[in-house]
Amino acid sequence: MQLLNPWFLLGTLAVIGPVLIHLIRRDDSRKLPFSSLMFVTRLPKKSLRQQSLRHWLLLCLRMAALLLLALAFARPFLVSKVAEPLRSSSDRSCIILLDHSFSMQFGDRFQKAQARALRLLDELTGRDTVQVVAYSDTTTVLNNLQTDRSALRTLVRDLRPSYRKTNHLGALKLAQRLLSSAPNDRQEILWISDFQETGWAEAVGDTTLMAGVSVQPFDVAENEGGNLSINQLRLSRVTENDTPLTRISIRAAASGMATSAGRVVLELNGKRMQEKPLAIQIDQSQLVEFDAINPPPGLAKVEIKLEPRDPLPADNVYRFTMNSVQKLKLLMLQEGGTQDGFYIAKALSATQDSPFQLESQEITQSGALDLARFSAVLVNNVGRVPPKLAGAIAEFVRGGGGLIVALGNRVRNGNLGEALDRVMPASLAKPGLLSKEKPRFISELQKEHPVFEGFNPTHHSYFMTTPISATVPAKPHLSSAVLASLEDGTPLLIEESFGKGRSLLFTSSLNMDWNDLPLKSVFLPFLYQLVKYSARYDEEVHAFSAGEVVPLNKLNPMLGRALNRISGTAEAFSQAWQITTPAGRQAQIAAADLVQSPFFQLEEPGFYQSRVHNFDSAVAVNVAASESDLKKVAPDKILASLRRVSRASTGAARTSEPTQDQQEAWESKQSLWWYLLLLVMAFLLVESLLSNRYYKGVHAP
Amino acid sequence: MQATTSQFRFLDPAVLSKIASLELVARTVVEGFVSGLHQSPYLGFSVDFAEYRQYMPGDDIRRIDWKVYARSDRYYMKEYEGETNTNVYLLLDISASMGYKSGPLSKMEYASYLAACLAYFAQQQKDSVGLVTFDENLVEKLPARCRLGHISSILHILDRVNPTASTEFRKPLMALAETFHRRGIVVLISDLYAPAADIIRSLRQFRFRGNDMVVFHVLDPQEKEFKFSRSFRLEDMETKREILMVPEEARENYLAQLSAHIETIKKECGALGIDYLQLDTSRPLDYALYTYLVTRRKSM
Repeated sequence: MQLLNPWFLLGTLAVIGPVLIHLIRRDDSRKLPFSSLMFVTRLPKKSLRQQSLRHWLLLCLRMAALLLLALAFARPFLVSKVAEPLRSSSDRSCIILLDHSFSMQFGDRFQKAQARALRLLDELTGRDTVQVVAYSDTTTVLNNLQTDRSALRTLVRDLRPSYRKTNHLGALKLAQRLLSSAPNDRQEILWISDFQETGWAEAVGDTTLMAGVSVQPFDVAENEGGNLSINQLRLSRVTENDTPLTRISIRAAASGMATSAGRVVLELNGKRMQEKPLAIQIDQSQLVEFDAINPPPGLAKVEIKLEPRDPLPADNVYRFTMNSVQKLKLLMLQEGGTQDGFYIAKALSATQDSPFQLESQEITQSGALDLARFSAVLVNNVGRVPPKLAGAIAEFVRGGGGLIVALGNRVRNGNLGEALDRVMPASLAKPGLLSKEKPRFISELQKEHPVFEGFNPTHHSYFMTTPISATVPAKPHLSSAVLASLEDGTPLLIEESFGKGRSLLFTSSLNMDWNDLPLKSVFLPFLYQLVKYSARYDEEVHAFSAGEVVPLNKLNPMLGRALNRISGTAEAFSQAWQITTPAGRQAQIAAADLVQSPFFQLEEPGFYQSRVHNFDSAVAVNVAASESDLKKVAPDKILASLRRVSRASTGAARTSEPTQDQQEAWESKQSLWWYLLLLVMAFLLVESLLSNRYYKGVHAP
Repeated sequence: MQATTSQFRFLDPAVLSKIASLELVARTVVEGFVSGLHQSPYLGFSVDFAEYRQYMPGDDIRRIDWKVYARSDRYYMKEYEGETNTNVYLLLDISASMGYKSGPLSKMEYASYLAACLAYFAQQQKDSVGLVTFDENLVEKLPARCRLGHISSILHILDRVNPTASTEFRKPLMALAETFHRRGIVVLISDLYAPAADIIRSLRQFRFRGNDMVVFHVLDPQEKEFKFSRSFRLEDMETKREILMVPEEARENYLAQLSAHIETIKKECGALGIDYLQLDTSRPLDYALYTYLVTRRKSM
């Protein structure tokens, strides 16, 4: 028997340690650096009672474990068992790049790719190191560079095609990066894919290939027929006989095939509603319009299916959701009739598609208002808000509601109400109105702020050329932000967050009294943005693409509320929620996940369903339309477009010394150390059982 | 199954530690992270836009927008802004306690990776990035810049950080806050070994100046679990003070105090509207990038 690392036997000296510590350093123990004793110094100090050698058995077990451990590290082996020659220059380091994007689900492409990968593994010599990388639009490194073929075969067999897009370039880059630390001089990338063109179209700019790395493409796509898919959805609202309806139209495409006797079926909540004929020429598309429907209240799950089915059925179905009750409810408080809110009401109900539902209320008759019904409150040109209502609004804002305060000539003194002032982003002075003869203009807009980000420079000029004849002087708080100001520095729009809500103050009027903004074309979108931003309103998303990472509140609005509530106290909050994937798997969302990573990855097409506090919700997921286009790009064309660069320029120069990986691969052939370690573990197990028994209760306070 | 964590998506920091180049680490993490976002609504910051400002004597009259003049009877200049979106300041604690490690990666190395990733990511977003390292004093201060090559200066500083001194929040950070004149995102990367009141007082200075803040609390798994196998003398890496202890007795008390410290900071951060994320050195950096992205979105 020989030892591969005999110097590790020095470790046997460690057995002296425990004895010496016990016998010599009776008043001390080993020193261990620790980052800070900030929380340790405050502990009740207990002197460490030196343990004597009364537990001889324990000591023997520990010493034996140490001895065996040192022996295991020394890597003993029998000379007759050594059959591992040194690394030769003919050995290779290979990366098998295996495309498992959605397009690989076409027919038996993926099975062919797996078979090809397994065949390649068989063809490689026993000393070649191999790494398998599966890729779609993300790359997955399945293993470290290794020589163990059986493990690699299992990995390849277990791999399943995804529903994601293709990104050839990202995979190629990663493969080169992995090879830069590979042990062998001969380096190859074995690239198995259907070489879908859309996966390469994303590659822009200068792409490089390291010198000395050869790339062998293996194309698994043959002339297998065409593919039907749905690549566009349009929803529009129409009114027939005073009934608001939704018209659905889709665009179906036929890539590499034609269909003459097909049809498109519309299903609403699992029930077949309509059917339209489909006749598409080869490589053409067809717009299909369904009759307008009146979806039931609440969440509606819609599926549009193409028939007949083709070898890639997942993109023959397009799913989306519609929610007909998601209008944002806004309460407008005003004084002295509806005249002041005329333009606001007109703007917010200008179209049937308006996402708002406006309710106006006279401030003097607002006795028992239930603010919980609303997402935002607009206080429009009100002199004074009754104390009870002001308190309710303040509580409403801190609880997550939105508040917009627009001033005007009814603001008699700088005090709208004591409680309300506490959720205002600025302190109002007594109105010292600017002269009407000297209108001022807006000079600064926070263009990247959500309220203004949708406007282009021309729109900015409309804002900036609006004469503002009067404002109520306001002094913004330190923690508030001025979103728009006049040329003399007077703040016009101020924002501040209070608790979980937002408060915005417009220091001029939202009617024609002090400016003519309501007559500008930007008034409507400005008001929309203002209300949406104050109420944290998100546009309805009808469908997502597979592979997308979405905020959890998109999956279920109640998850968003839960997140708000538990923010910062995750450990104390033990509740978990379940999301059911289209395949029926249950995904647990723990409170800690909500706080630390409030996102969810949508991996497969279908409806993801969730229930939070008895509130059911669902989101639709489809495969990306680009994956349905099966046009190929010739692998030679890809390789020709890569620019060869030297290793030095990529910082990937290697040494001739064997790497750690290689040494580990060599050592993995040894087996004696493994049995020794098992023995060590057994000794330690017995030791821990005994010591638990001996010390039980010894350190009890 | 956890939210967003597919089995292979995130890179283990221990793996990253094998990559020698800090820039390569940043690129590996950030490119993987960005490619994972796909069509996330959080991407797509505009970089090329025009704005108007009033004419000042000396301006080139060819750039006056005459259409606006016709409407308002005032001269406005059509001006194209640079590509900078926002200022990002990375405040990196390089006190001696950050040098602690129980696994393959020290807190300092992890924090450096994180800072490098954030700097690289911010630069990708066309943000100006600045770096400040501090222990008991301000050690290095690199102002926020957006130009190409600035990332190299940041990486150079990160490469040569040497955690030796003790931690102090009030003095260096209060002084630093005074010098911040433009609002931005302030990212603090630290193990927060200081009295919670001092930390919060310092953070408040930045927050009250209108900055958005995110605090990355970097801890070693051993610090969180305090699972030592036997008795020993603990030596404080900053003060070199030693204390004799029996870990199984001390553990419960230690964890309670650490937890109280963390809860206090979390609570105060929540009240100040500061995003707080606790990271241990075995945790993939992508989580931190997500948190940063959310903060950046809020600041827009």
